[in-house]
Amino acid sequence: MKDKEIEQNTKTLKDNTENKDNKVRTIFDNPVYWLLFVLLIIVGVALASFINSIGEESEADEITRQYEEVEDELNALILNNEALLRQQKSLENNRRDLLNSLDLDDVGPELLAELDEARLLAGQEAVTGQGLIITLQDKEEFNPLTDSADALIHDGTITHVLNLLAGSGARAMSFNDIRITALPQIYCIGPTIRCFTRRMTPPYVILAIGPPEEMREALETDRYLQRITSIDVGVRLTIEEGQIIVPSFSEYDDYRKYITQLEVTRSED
Amino acid sequence: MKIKYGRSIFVIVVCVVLGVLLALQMTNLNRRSRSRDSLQELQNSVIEYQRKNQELDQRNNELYNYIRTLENELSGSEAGAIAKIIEEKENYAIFAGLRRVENEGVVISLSCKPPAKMRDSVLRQFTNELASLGAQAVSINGERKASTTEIRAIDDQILINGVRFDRSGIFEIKAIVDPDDINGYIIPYLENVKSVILQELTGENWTITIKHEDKVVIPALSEDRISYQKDLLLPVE
Repeated sequence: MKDKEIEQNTKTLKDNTENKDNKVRTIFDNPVYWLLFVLLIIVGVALASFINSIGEESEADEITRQYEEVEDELNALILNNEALLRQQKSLENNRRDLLNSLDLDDVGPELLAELDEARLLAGQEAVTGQGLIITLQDKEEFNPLTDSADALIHDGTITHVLNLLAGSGARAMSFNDIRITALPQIYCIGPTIRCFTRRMTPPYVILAIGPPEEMREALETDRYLQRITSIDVGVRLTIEEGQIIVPSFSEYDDYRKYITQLEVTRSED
Repeated sequence: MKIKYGRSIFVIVVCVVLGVLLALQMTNLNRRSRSRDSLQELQNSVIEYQRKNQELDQRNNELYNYIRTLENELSGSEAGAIAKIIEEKENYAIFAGLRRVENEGVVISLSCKPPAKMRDSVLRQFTNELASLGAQAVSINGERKASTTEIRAIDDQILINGVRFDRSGIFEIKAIVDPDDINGYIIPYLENVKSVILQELTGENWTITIKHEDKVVIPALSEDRISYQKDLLLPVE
């Protein structure tokens, strides 16, 4: 009798254990619970990290505040700069109209023609004409460990292209909206190129007014450009033809500060 | 059924909370990425724009006064427009390289012995370096560097402004630069460029000398040079 009772109790216990095991297995077999488990862990970590960042009275917040202030100031200055450039253009037009309507006796027409010529050659007039738009970009996904340094555009690449264009008859050129003058200051600063004081990043766009076919041929047949644009090196170069506008240097800077050291001399000695 | 709905709502709520937290965290990261360096860069841009705006403002004021002079000339109340026009024309001509100029500067002489020949790339490198150093006028063998001057080797000659020079001869680059920087900065810098070039040309017999001269005379661009052509240019109205 006692044995029978023990046997029944053991069976009941076994059944209960089996049922319990079945129940637990059912919960963890359900992917929703697993998802919830993982999500709650991520929420926990994110919450902890967020609370931690709120608690920190960090230097980063101070920099951010300053950054936003300086950014606002810069935006205001850029707007002011645009307004001043518009004003300059309007004054230049006014000046031109007045010069045309002036009666300067005998010297008038000749003097004005000389003024226009000097202004044009000095790059102080925005000009238009048929020409090329050349776009240069570094190798796509440049890897400094495996790619050649030639896969990046350097100051030498830009001056090389400008020289080729000049040699094939370009009359006016610009580099990323800055008019090329007699002595353009183009040089590398780290991974960027500076033209005068403006820091530039790719794409580098060169505009050139001149005979399109000759300029295109000069670029396409140049061995250095052929090499750096080959699949092995990877520099990206595109050439488009069309009616273009090359900006005046006055849109970038006042030319007079680049002639401060020059004393005109008329004698031969 | 109720349990199923409750579970779904719970998952949605958890996901929304997680999304919000991640967004806030990303904003924080963005803010932190604004380092002192980028702030400094931004401040430099502000200084640059302040300077530019100041200069533009000054230039506009001068233009305004110039226009007033022209208006007065037109109305007959003042004479002086011609002087202003001549001054403006002369400044443009100096900047374009149409005037013979002189001042303190540097003279770089380059030559090489056969079988080596003068390389256009070396001449270009020196002129580009001089431009970057703030040179205001440059000539190579008496040819004024203008905005469309080419320096190109063709066979035994080097073409500058369309004029051919023998590659076995001496090439002389003259530049007018800021006198205050010549000895302290410009000449040491050019000497450094020179040694880099000579290192690249090891095995070739090159001579490069760099001198400071009190009077460097740079000729004007001749009217018959290619760089003087402007036939394909139309001013934008």
